[in-house]
Amino acid sequence: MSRRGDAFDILSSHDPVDETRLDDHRSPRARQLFESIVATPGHVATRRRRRLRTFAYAAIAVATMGAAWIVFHPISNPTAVTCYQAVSLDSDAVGIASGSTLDPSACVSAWEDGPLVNEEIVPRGTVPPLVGCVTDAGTLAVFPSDDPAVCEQLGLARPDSESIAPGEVVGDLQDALTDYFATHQCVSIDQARDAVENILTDRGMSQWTIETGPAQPDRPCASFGMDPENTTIYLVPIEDLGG
Amino acid sequence: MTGPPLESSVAAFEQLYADTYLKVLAYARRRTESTAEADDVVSATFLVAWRRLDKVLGADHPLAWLYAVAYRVNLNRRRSAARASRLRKRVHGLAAPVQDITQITVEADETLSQALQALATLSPADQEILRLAAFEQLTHEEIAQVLGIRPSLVRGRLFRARQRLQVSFEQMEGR
Repeated sequence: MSRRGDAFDILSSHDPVDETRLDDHRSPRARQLFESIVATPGHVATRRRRRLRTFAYAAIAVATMGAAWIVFHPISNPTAVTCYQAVSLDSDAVGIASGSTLDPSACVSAWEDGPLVNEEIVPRGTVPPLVGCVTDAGTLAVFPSDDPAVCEQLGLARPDSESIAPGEVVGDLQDALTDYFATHQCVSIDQARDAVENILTDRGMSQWTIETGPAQPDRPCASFGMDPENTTIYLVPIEDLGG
Repeated sequence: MTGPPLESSVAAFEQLYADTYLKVLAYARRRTESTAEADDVVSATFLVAWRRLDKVLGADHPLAWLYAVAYRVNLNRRRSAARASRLRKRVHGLAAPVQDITQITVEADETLSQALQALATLSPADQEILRLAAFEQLTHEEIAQVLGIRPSLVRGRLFRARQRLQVSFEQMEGR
C-alpha cells in the first residue's frame, strides 16, 4: 500500500468535478436545451422542423373545417396532401396544395396557424407528431401520431421511400440507428445486422445494403457508418470498452 | 393518436430532466476534455431519452439508463475524435491538442493528480468502472446497468480494476 493511501479512496473522496459549481437544469443554457429537445417530438418532427426552414412549399389552407378533399394524382406526381385532425379518416381535415413536397411537414402550418386543433393531443397552435400514409387514390394523408402503424390500422399504405424526400428518409434512418446503438451495450455484428435489417424494413428501405467489416476477436461489438449516396450501411467491429 | 398525449410526455420528460440534468452534466464533464464536448454529450443523451421516453421512464434506474446512453455517446465521440486525430497526424504531422478538464481542476492537489494520472493509464473499461464507483458512486446493480453486464460480475471487475489502479499509482509515487 502506498504511504499516501489507497488510490481508489483518494478518487472517491476528491471528485474532480464539483457538482455544486455546475449550472443546474434551471440555467438558461439548460432551459434552451430542454426547449430545443421537446420541440422535436419524435423522428418525424425532428426532420419536419428542418424541412420547414428549407422548403418553401405553397401551402393553401382550405378555410372551412370539415371540408376534406382528395385530389386523384399518382404519388409520383403529388399535388395535394390531406391533413387530418385525428387518427381517423372520418375526422375533420384540411387539404393542402403541396407543390413538389410530398411530406407530412406540409401540414405543419395547418397545426401551427390553424385551422387544425385537437386539444386532446396538443395545445392549440402546437404541432403534434405527424405520420403520413398513402390513400387508395395515391395521395398523402397525414395524421397526428408518432406511430407509423396507424397507416395499417386505417387500411392505408405507408409511403415508400421514393415518395419522401431523400434527406428526410436518411435523417430518420440516422436517428433510428443512433438510438439503437446508443441504447444497446455491445451488440455483435450479427445482432446489429438483424436490427438494422428490421430498421430498414420498417421504413420500406429494403433496397439499402448492409456491409460488414471482418470479425476480429478483440473487437466483438458493432458500430455503424452510413453512405447515403450508395444506400449502404457499414457495420464495423469495435472493441468492447464495457467488457 | 396512439402514444401518450404530448403534454404528459413533456411533463414527464421535464421531471426527468430536472432530476438528472446536473448528474448527467457532471458525468460528461468528468469524461470530456472541454465544456463544449460535455455539452454535446449531454444534448445527445437527453435527445435519445426524449425519443425513448418510455424506455428511460420504465428503467429500474433512470439515471443509470442515462449514464449508459451518455457512456456510448461519449465512446462514439471519442472514436470520431481519434479518427480525426489520426487524419491530422497524416496531413500535418501533428496531434490534436489535449486539455483534460480534470487536470485543470486538480492541478493544485498533487496526490489526486497522480491518482488521476494512474487512472488514465488503465484500460477504458477499467477507467469507466472505477469512475462510476468513485465519482458517480453507483451501486453494483447500477454499474451493471450502465455497462450492460450482469450485476454478479461487477464486484470482481471492480476489485481487479482497483488493484491495477493501485499498482499504477504506486509506480508513479516511486518516480
